[in-house]
Amino acid sequence: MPSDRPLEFSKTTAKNLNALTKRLPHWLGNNAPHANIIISTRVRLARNLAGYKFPRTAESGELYEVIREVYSAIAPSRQLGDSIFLDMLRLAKLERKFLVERRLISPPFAAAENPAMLVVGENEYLSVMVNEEDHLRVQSIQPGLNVEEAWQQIAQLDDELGESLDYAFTDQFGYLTACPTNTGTGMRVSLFVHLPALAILEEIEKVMKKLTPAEITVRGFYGEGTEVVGNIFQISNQLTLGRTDDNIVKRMEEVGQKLVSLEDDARERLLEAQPVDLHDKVYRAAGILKYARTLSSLELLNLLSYLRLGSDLGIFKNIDRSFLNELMVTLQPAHIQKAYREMDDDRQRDVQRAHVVREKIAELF
Amino acid sequence: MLCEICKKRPVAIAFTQVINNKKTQLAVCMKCAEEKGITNPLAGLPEVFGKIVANILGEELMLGASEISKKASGRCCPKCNTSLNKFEKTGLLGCDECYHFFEKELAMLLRRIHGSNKHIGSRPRPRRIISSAKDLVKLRAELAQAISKEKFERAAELRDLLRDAEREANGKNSDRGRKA
Repeated sequence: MPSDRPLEFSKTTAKNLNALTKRLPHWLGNNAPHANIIISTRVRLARNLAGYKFPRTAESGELYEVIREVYSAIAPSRQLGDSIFLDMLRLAKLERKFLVERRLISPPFAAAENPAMLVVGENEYLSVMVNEEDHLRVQSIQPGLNVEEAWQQIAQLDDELGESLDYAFTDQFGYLTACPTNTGTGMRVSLFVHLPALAILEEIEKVMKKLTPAEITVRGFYGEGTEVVGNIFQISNQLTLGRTDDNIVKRMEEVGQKLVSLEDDARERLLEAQPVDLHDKVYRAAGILKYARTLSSLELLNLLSYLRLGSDLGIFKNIDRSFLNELMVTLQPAHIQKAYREMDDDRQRDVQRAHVVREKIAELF
Repeated sequence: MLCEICKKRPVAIAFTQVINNKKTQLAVCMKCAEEKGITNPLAGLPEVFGKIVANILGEELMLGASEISKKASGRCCPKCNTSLNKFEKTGLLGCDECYHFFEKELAMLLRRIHGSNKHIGSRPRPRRIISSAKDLVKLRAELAQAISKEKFERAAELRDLLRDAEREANGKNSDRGRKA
């Protein structure tokens, strides 16, 4: 059977993953619009190939066929440039966890036992999961609040792929997806927002209710079903049918602007009403980061939240935002474990994490 | 199971919402759903229900339509063998053919979830109808007329055509996907 032929990129999977562990994603960048409050913007499109069963129903042979088809469409892509291809079945649990932490794959994709592929574009702005819930989950990430740019990039890639792939689509329902909550545009815009002042003032719930919850959903750090940590929330559009792509882009850009002004306002009020408590929180966080001998990843994210707030408010003058983003991404458990091989238990990792933070922070205070 | 609001009538619709990792579920009867305006996800209680997942069987009870009987839930898609029962459990359809085979049920469900069951977003490039600049002027004029005459279906079609043409024009003028 032709589907049993090995995938041509399987052999280079381990090498490619290692290359990924040695560099940083470019969306950690500094000078993006509203990057003080909105860490990143992601747009993802769900697409399926006509004629094949959706991934959760399809058998292994069919899934390999899908991978081959997508591979031959993407390999010559201009949009994806110097992309790397990973055969998910060649990756161990740790490496998959690394990819989740890197925001390149979803937790369900990490658990995949069926043939699946991940394509990572140059600088990690664009990526494609093949055989997740849908045949293709294309994503585009930009730093800060930048829905338009993320959309432009993904729309170009989508157009390009749509030339050689026959997408499952009808005039009535639009792009056909495994879950009806994605049918239509198949488009989900997610803003990764840092709202410490609203959280301290316990106004998050009130704010989220205001943002017309029928079309907006709030999730935790790693997406669906995950916890909120470090005062970071993931805000996404909920409705994908009966709306144009442009409407969703504009709407989410507005939601982002609104969140920025509400958080800005909360920061001002906090600074005015509780200046001592606020400074205390921020300086304590800095103190712990500077001297702690063990740090769990959860504690780190919560402390970084205050350090980030302190930097945004001008309490600390010399902290680069990209530096904070880098700590946030590279000190997650699987990242530490990939970087320092011997760290295979939590305790060792917590010690190592505190050590790295101390060294890095020493340059600042 | 009895309605959680009136605690008297049987449940016809179930809703689930997940906010901040907290899952809230509400199962109500048809009458209470109507009274609370929950039957239309965009009207009614948006402050209570962020995410609305409708229960297909509930939808059937609501319609009471004979053509979509309870038997329908056992019908299987000829291509992938997915039944409505299975779909109800997993929330996932099996293939593109499911959309054809369960068209009626899905049209209702999609309206329930999204407030609409008609796609008006962009199309795959090979399916776009490309118009010349002259046609665009004509289309825009016709759109304005359709709106003023309240011919909204025609207006929606025209908007689709215009959008495709505009996205196409953007694509051609751009360099590696960035707007010039």
